[in-house]
Amino acid sequence: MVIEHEVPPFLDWFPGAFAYWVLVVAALIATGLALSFLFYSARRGPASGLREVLQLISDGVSDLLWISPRRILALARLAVQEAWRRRVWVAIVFFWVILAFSAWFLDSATTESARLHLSFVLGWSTFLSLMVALFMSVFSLPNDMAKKTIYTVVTKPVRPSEIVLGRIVGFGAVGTGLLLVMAATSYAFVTLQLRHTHKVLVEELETPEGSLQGGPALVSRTSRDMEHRHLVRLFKDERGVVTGGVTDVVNGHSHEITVETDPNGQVRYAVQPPHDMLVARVPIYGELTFRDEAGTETDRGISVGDEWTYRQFIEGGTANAALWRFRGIDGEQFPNGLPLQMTFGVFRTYKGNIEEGIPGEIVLRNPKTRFSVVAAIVRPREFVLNTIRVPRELVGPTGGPVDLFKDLVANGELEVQVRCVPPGQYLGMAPADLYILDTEASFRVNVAKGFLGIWLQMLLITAIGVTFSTFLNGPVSLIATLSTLVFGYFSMNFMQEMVQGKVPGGGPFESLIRMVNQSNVMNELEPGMYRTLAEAGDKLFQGVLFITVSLLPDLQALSDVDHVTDGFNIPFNNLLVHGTMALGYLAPLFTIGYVILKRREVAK
Amino acid sequence: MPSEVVIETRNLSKVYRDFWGRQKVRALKALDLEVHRGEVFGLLGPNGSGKTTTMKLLLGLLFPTSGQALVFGKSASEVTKNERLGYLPEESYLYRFLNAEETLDFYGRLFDMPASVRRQRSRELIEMVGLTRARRRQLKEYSKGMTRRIGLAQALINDPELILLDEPTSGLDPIGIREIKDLILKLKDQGKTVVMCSHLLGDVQDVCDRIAILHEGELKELGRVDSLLKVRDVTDIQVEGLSDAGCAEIKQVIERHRGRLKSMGNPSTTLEELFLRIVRDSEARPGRRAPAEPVER
Repeated sequence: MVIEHEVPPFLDWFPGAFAYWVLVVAALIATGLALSFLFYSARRGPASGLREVLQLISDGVSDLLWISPRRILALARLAVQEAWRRRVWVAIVFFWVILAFSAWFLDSATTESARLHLSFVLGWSTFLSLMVALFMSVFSLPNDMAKKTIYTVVTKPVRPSEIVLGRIVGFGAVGTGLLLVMAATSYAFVTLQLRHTHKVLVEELETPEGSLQGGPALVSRTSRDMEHRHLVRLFKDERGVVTGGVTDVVNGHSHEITVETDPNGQVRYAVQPPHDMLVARVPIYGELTFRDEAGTETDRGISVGDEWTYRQFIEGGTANAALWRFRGIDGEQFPNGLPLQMTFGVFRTYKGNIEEGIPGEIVLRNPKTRFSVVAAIVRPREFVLNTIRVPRELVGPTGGPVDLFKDLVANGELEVQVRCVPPGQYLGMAPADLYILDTEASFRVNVAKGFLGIWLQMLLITAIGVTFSTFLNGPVSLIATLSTLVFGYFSMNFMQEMVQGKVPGGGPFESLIRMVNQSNVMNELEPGMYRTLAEAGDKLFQGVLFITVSLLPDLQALSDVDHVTDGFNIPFNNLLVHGTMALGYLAPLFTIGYVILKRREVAK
Repeated sequence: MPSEVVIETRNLSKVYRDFWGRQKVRALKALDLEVHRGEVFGLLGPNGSGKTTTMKLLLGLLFPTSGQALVFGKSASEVTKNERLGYLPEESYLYRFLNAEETLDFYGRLFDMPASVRRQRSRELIEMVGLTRARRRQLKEYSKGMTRRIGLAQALINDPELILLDEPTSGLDPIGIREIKDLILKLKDQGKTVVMCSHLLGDVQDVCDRIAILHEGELKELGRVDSLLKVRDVTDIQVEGLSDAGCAEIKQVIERHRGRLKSMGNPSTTLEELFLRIVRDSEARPGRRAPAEPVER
């Protein structure tokens, strides 16, 4: 799984994030009060301006203190009734229709069928829930204003804070309902689509040639189901009785085979549901460093010129190596050996055997004694997960036995080195590319956690839509919220790089000059007035963009659906950090919506 | 005359401006007004005279450009004043996807009313406005008159002390108009204060104790209806069962006292009275044509 931005531990992240939040919110409040003062001073003089600002503060405190949960629930209930009678459930029907026809374009016979199905349902759930949240939230309040139904609400003892919060809660509840249905449907759809079994072809059972001790006693094939079949290996115990077996890995999964004997002595082979398909792996990640050709430890590998710098490469046939340091390894936790899983990038300077992958050597090393053992040779292929289980008993360099946890783990620490074997070929590594598989969590719970991330996004879009709709009409609110959604979802990284001046070719003004001059982005612009003006304009633009980036929510970061599609458990820490981030946006959005509604005339 | 002031405006003015802050229209000019507890007060004036603007300022739907609007002694922008207030807008701006019961339940919740009270109050009000049979129908299926009725019911959900009615009889049939007028008088009897604005002068005359006449945003007249309408140099006598000889004798008396007889004869009833009598008679005896003979008085 690609983890470009690691989510920091909550306790490490929170103090800094909270301080930054307080700073931004304080700046917003100060700006709002200053603008109010200037506005009212310009109309009625400074004394009136000051009075209005003080009134605003006092009203704000009072309206927040005397907020009524019953009224909020009444308004939320109205929002739910409104959404329901405006046929919001059509989104669910649409989702079901899409799932019903998905078999036309979703291929179950691929190595990535689980990822394909999961990304399909999660992608559609995200899209539909965000669209529903968007349309519900932006049109409700402007419609109330246009149809004047708001007159009969604000002439009751209802505070503007309750109107804003009632809508956020109501539409949030509708979105929650939709997502619950979508989550249940998605889970059922994926499991039903991918859960399958086969039959062992008993007539093809045969004893393999050159069968060794510990190897399979019988081999066969399975029937062809879901456009694939497996090779079957059955094992016997000391008495020569077949006890069970496994299949090989096809399309990213294997099956366990159980053996049942009926009262007549008839043996039946039952192929169990697939393994490693719908999983939630809990990995233990290590720290990655590199060793250069001279054997010196460094934090960067070799660049092969890829624009995406996520992976650093090691060259084959040299001392170049990637080095993972794992902590907290306990022998009791892994009684059957250490399961290592890895996905490496591959860069070939010559074609080689394209079918086989580039061989890499996995070496385990004791960080204290520096004693090392070659654990395995793997042939990683790009985008394919390779699994090895390092046994507890290993063979040392001198041929003697080596105990994995006694001889190679020191104070819970273990080093795993990866070397690329063939000269002239490269393997690419990132910290999350190799990990120890701790355990497997519940897939069902993981899907629920994935939907929790979508729920946070939906809630935020609802709050943004409601806030915009307190001062904009429906279509303009829609455009404003949609822009926030698009920029917050797809352009945050680009905008952050623009603010930091990392984008080649400068800002918009410099780019304009380059376009007119047809100048390459790698060349410096010639000094002169145009360059000076363009740089000044770009600085100003960067300032505006900095404020925008500071205020815009990074919507994509709130969701962890990639964990679910890649088969990894979503850590509780991620949920905690993302939930707090969402709350950090919801509170100011609610306040802004409240202040605007409070200060505007409802009637015309 | 009850002395407690429920509504007070001081130099209340409203200027509507465009997006750029330029003055569009001066809707209300320095209005000074007091409405006392227990009276039915009418705001009269032609279209665009400032009646509805005044009402919106009193409700806090608009902010005054200058001056003050006080309701129960509090600023009109104060939310808590709404706990004692009911408002029927010009057109019943209600959520058309709700039915009558849901509508009243929703507005009851906004008053923090407990469920049992909401249920009882809704039932009473629906019965009072004659919508019992249509209580489960969505408001989008209601006629205009039915919508006005449920609008009135929502204005009364909290049993308010002050009721603001904007064109309360618009869209209603004569029976509905009479019922509304009767209701206003009933509310007055219960000690409630009613402020209504209308340009149907007959309605205002029938129910209002005092009126204010606005024109182009300015207060032109303010006072009690009976004193404002009284024609001081004409005397009206209505006698029942008088013979022709008696009529002749009265004429002589008038001449003897140098009075000028303007008219003498049998009065006619109003069209409203005639209509209501026919409808009531038709309801009492379905299928029969109502008698067309003039009313004996």
